[in-house]
Amino acid sequence: MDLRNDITEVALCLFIEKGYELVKISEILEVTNISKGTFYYHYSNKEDILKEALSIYFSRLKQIRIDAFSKQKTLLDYLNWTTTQLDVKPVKSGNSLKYEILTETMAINLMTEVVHLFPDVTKRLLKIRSERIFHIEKLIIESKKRGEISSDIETSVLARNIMNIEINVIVLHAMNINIENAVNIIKEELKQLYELIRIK
Amino acid sequence: MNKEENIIRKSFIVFLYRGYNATSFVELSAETGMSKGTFYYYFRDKKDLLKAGLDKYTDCYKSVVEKERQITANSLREYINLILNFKEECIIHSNDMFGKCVFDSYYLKLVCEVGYILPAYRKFAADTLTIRHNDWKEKIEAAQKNGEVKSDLDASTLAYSFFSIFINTLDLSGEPISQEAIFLKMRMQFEQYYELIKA
Repeated sequence: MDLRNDITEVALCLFIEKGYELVKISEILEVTNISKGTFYYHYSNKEDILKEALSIYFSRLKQIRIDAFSKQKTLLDYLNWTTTQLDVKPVKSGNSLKYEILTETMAINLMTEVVHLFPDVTKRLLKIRSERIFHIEKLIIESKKRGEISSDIETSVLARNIMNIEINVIVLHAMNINIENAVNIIKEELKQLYELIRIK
Repeated sequence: MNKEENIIRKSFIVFLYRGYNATSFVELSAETGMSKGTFYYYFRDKKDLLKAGLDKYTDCYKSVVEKERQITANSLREYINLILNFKEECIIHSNDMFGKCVFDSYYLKLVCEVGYILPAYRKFAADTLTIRHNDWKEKIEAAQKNGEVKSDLDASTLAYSFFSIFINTLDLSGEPISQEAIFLKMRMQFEQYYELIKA
């Protein structure tokens, strides 16, 4: 890992956690233990590092999705994968972005905030979301064919219901439920929904 | 509506959909038409303006939740429909009041964002959600007892899933799509759950 990449990753996590405006360059220097000179050698300003951080964020999300989508053959695979993604706490250390679902949700505030600087953010997020929905729908249809889940369930509505459970972390966060408990609740929700649609 | 009211309402909508920290004075001024002089005549700073908007909306939200809690029904199915109708009416009402639809989910997002400077609203939202979650849980349990809904379901978990449908509006593309489209989707999602959970 090169230094530039490390600094950008730390900055990204700080931005996701606190929001773009609130993170000062001095804080990035402090956490990464680099000098002002080093910072300005790599980036021309805060917006510059944000731009690079977003680009890391989106390419990481894309990679995770490609990996996961290729491995998931059934709806159950997808739901199990989702819960393993949730298993890990989102933290500010370098590799936090492995935990797509939480960070994707947690990153909503940051994305709303920076949309005026980078208007294409919205387009990229919507694309990610529609790809995910498309993937879930595909798995639902295949699961119906195999007789894993009941065929009279409306595919697109079920896909939305699954997506909504994943996004529920926002509500749980607003309810001051700590992240471990929130993750458990979401796992239980997905499990219960799967039990309801599964053919016994 | 007087000038101050007008500024508060319009600014609140900007904070709601753009986020508090992301909103600059330039944007507020473009949206409300106020000058720096006008701004400082009425408000100490940006936080003061936000607080005025949050107070206004929180008052509405409080009375809305009180009314919502008084809704009773003979079955869970009826309860779901009444709540959806009620929420839709409230959204339309907020449009009359703020000039744009205010969705609960955006309010939640905003109070979470500014929780570090205005913790009271954050606490109010958390308490309200906890109370409403419990209400839903009780309604589901009652429906399980009288045989309307499958008895082996976990009512608390299901209540959270119902909650998740209400945040449907929280799209990433800034302002949500039309309230009719949103409520249509919500109704379909509830309908699917209901078909699955009914005994």
